Formats: sequence, C-alpha cells, structure tokens
Amino acid sequence: MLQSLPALLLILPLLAALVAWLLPSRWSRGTAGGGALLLVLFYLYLASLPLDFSATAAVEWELWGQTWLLTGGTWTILHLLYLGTAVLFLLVTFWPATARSLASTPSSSLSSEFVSAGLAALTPLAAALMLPTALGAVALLLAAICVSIMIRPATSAASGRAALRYFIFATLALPFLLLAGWMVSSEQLVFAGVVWRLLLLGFALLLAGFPFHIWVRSLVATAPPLLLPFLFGLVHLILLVYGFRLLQENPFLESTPQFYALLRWLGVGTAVVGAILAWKPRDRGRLLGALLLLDLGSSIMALSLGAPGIRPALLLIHSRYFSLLLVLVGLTWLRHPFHPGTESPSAHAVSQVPWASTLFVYGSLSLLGLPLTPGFAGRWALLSLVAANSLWPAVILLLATVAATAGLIVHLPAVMRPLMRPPLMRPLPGSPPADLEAAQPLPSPLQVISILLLVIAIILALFPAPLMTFAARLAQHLS
Amino acid sequence: MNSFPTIFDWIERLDFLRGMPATYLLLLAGLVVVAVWEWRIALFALTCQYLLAGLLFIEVLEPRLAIVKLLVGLFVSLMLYFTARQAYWPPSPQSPLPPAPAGASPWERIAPMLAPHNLLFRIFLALVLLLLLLTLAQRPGYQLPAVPPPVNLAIFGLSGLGLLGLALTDNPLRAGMALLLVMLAFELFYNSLEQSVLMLIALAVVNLAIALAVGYLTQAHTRAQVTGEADPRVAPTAPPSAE
Repeated sequence: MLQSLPALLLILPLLAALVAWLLPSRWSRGTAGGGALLLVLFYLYLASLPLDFSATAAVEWELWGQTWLLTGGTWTILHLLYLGTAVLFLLVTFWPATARSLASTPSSSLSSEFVSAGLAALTPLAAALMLPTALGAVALLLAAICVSIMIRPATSAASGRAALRYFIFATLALPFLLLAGWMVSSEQLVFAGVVWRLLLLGFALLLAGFPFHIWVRSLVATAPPLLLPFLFGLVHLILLVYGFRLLQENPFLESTPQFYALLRWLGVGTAVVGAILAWKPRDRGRLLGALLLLDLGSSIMALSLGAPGIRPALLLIHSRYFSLLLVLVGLTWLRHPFHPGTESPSAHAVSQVPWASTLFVYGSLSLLGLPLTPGFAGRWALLSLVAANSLWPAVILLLATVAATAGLIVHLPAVMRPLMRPPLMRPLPGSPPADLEAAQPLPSPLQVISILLLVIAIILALFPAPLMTFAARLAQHLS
Repeated sequence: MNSFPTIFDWIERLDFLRGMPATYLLLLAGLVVVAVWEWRIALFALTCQYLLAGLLFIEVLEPRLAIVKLLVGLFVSLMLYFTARQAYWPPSPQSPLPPAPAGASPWERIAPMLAPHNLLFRIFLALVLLLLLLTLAQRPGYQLPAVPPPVNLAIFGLSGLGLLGLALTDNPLRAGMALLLVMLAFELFYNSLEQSVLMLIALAVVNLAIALAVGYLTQAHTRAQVTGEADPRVAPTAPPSAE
C-alpha cells in the first residue's frame, strides 16, 4: 500500500476536484461537506500509515520515472495542508456566506469553485513538497497559484486585476528561480553573484516582497475572505518551506552575506509599506491587506535568517492562518443581514455585533503580532532572532508594527461603519419575500462556533507553549 | 509513391528562413502582438510567432523535441482563440473594439482594428525598445552563454517586447499574450542550457497552465463588464438610446 502512496497523494485530490467541478452548483454545500469529509478521512488514513521517520531520514519512491521523497517535515506539512483545507471546507459547508467577496457589490457564493479549485491545488502543492530537489518544484508551485487565482468572484473587475497581477508576478518568478537552479545544479558557482541576485528577485516576486506587493491589498479587498487563509496561510506555508529548502540546498549562499542582508531589507521594506498603507485605507479590505503586508514582510525576514528562521516562520504562518480565520468569521458575521423580529432592533445589535466586531478586531491585532494575541509568539521569536543578528531591521519592524497598530485604531471606526448600519435595520414594509428570508438572525450553532473560535484564539495567546513546541519540532524536521 | 513529409523534410524546405530571417520575422510578429489592439490579428501574430520560434528551437534542441514546443505553442494559441471567441464575439459595447455603426464603410469597419488611438504610441515605444535591445544584443558583453546569435537576439527582443506589453495593458488576454512572449524568450534560453525531457514537460505544463489561467481571467473580466460592475478607472459610457 505504501508503494502507491505518492500516486494516491497526487491523484486523489485531482479526481475529487474533477467530481466537485462536475457537480451542479446548487449542491455547493454538499460538495463542500463531501470535500471536507474526504480530506478528514484522507488525513486519518495518512496518520495511520506505519511510516517511521525516526528510523530513516526519508522514504523514497519511484513513480512515473521520477523519485519522490517524503521526510518527517514534509509529512507533517502535508498533514497540516489537508487539515487546514478541510477546516475551510467545513466552514463553507455550515456557513456558505464565508465564500462571498469582501467587495461591497453583491456577488454569488463561490463555495463550489472554492472546493474544486482548493482540491485541485492540493495536487501540485503536495508534488512540490515531495520532489527531491527544489528546482522542478517551482513549476508545480506556479501551477498551484494558477489554480488558486480561480477562486474569486467573476463579477468584479478590480478582483480580476488583482488576480492578474498576482499571476503575472508569480509567473515572472519562474524564469529567475529556474535559471538560478540550473546554474547551481550545473555547478557554475563562478557566477555565484548572478545566482544570488536571481534568487533574490525570484523570492521577491513569489513572496510579494516590495515592490512586487501591489496585488496584495486589492486581492484582499475583492477576494472572498475564505481565500485568504487558504492563499496566505496554506499556499504561503508551502512557498516558505520551498524557500527554506532552496536555501538549504545551496550552502554556498552562506558565504554571500549580502544575499541574506538584502532579503532581510526586502522584508523590512514590505513591512514598512504595510505600515504606511495602514494609514491610507479606503475600505476594510485594504486595511486588512495592509496588515497582511506587514505580516508577509515579517515572514520574508524570517526566511532571511536561514535555518534558524524556520521556527519563527512556522509560528508566523500558523498564527496568520488562525488570525485570518478569525477575521473571516468576524467579517461574515458582521455582514450577515438579520431581522430581529422585536420592537427594538438595537437590542439585537448590542447583543450580536460586539462578538463579530471582537472577532474581526482580535484577528487584525493578531495579524499585527501584538501581545495577548496568537500572533505574538511568532513575532516575538522573529524579533529576538533578528535583533541578535542586526538591530536596525528589528527596530524598524517594531516601529512599523506600532505605526500599523495606530493606523488600525484610527481608521477602524470609519471602515467598520458601513457594516454597522444597514444590517441592523428592519426590512422595509413591502420588501420582497426573498429579502425577508435572508434577513434572519445568525443561527445559534454558527454563533457558538464563532465564539468558540475566539476562545481558542485567546487560549492560544495565553498558553502558546504547545504551538511553540510543535513549531520547534517541525522546524527540527525541516532543517 | 509520395510519402508524407517528415519533420526533417519540413526543416529542409524552410531552410531559407532559419537563422536571422526567422528572428527578424519573430520580432515583427512580437511587435504586432504588443501594438495591435484587435485580438484576431494579435492572436494570429502569436501563432506565427510559435511557428517561427519552432525554427529557432531547432538551433538549440533536437528537432523531435523542438516539434513538441511548436505543438504546445499551437495548442496554447488554440486555447486563447476559443477563449477570445467566447469572450469578445460578437462585439458588444463593452468589447475592446465595439461594433462599427450601421452603414459604416468597409474601411471604417477595418480601420479601428488596425489603428486604435494609441497604436502609433505603442509602435513608437516598441521600436525604441527593439532598437535598444538590438544594439545591446550585438555587444560581446551581452552575448548569452551557449546561445547562437540569432537566438540571442530573439531572446532579448521577445523578453523586452513581452515586458513592454505587460506594462501597457491590464486586459487579461493581452497581458497573457505578452506574458507568453516573455515565457517564449525564457524557454529559448533555458532549453539551450538544459535539454532534459522532464524540464521540457514541466515547461509545457506551465505554458498550458498559463493559457488556462489567462482564459479564466479573460472570461471573468468579460463577465464583470457584462454584469455591469463599473471599473472606477474608466469613465462611464452613455447608455444606448432606445430607438
């Protein structure tokens, strides 16, 4: 059975994606539920396999004339990928509104597209993890990004532009990384200066480093919020693991300190741009995009630390996934139109909106990595490591975080106001029945799930030790 | 009895085009892709470009592998053709080129396809860039390793034109075609360095994935225009009069 494992990892998600794509869109909840069930079962099956990475460093397979490799680190990352996607699918199943765009214009739910594209993206992501060299993996990562950009509303021109920019930058990264990879594999280290420059440019394009970050804010502002934890959590996790693998496979980079220094400043630049843009938010999506930029800059800085940076990078990505999940749930709840059915709509407002607002604000603060949030552990680990290497980047990152926090506090009421007004109004007399049907209070189970998520986040923030231990163990496997 | 010509027969017949003539024609086709607004003409130029690039791939690859590149290119063109046909035909008021008014002369129907308002500017930019790149490519310091001079010139020219095309448009189909120019330039260079079948397949898959993504983005872009979401950067057009 173990012999067919790579084929299973590569083919099963693709087949499931095909089935999900063929199913009618009116079954979108069932499709999402089926996708989640499949991934959970797959996760349990993988967990039950007798693979012992303590005895052997890696397990190898020959398939389709290609060697595939599984190490303890990639095995755990694969588990996280399937579990993280299953959580998002479950969310769509019980709460299809999470798959709607952040843009103010109404759009149809993207649940079925999300499920089919999400499942299809798992194949190239898993293949990229299992290829023994990072050289060929970049083409697979590009294929995963091509599939991921299809998860967005087709009714928004702005969203299309953001996706196009992301797609162009990711595609342009391919030549640089492939050329660098070829130069290293053919041992042309006499051109080491060219190689590290190519790698730097490739990383900047792929990881949205300054000045190739321009798509991030518009994508966040127009894409369905559900895409954010998938793209910036799970896909980015694979991109970062790929980045660390590339650095480890090229030990000659250790002798070129300017590469790591420039990569660090690239991260600092991205974080500073995020902090500046947090002061110019046109809407809540762009505010969130600015905060996300700051976090993306931090993860680039973690990459610039080499092997010691794996642990903070993993912590940052885990907390980013969780923070974006909080933001997603908070925003969807805030946008939920409800009809109180009582004489005093404001009574409902008081009892419901604060929970939703707290989820959104707490998620945003966690993205900033502030104390008492889940994002703090990763940011603190990064800051202490960066400061030990060179002080100025750490100081600038700290100042950028303070500036972005101030921007969030100043602009939050303005960007939240549009959400506060219309949903709290009772429907006008004579409004169509469809509106009345839509205007229901958020079902209690969803409220309970959302509040539970907030409680878990607070527990994680107060007791981050298990997450830190997990990240440290995973980092040990990956290095 | 006449047998069907083989790849080598075709190469022999097209021998007069190999080398610099193929490069110059390739750059001319690239200029058309970047400068001409009409999707049918641009797509035809892109197809010609893949045919001509096939001749240049023979300089760096084994002919049987070069034909794979040609086939992938033609398949990409076909995918883009069907996408554009679905998205832009018949022309609507939202199309990049709206339909000609009733009673327009043949010239009035054709002229907008050939000469949009910024055609001269695009041609000027492309020519300046080409001139710069031609000069650079002929300098010894800018000679790429393991690449014959015609291919060297094509790589410089195509990558420059592709990047210019990307800078000049935000239409997904046009940007996609410009991106494919850049990829073609990269493949010409990369395949002269690395001839493994695995990388050949990987790059073919990447090209097809790009065409797929461009197709999706183009369809979505057109649907966004049809459903009427206003693009904040475009001035609203007057509604059609009810005649």
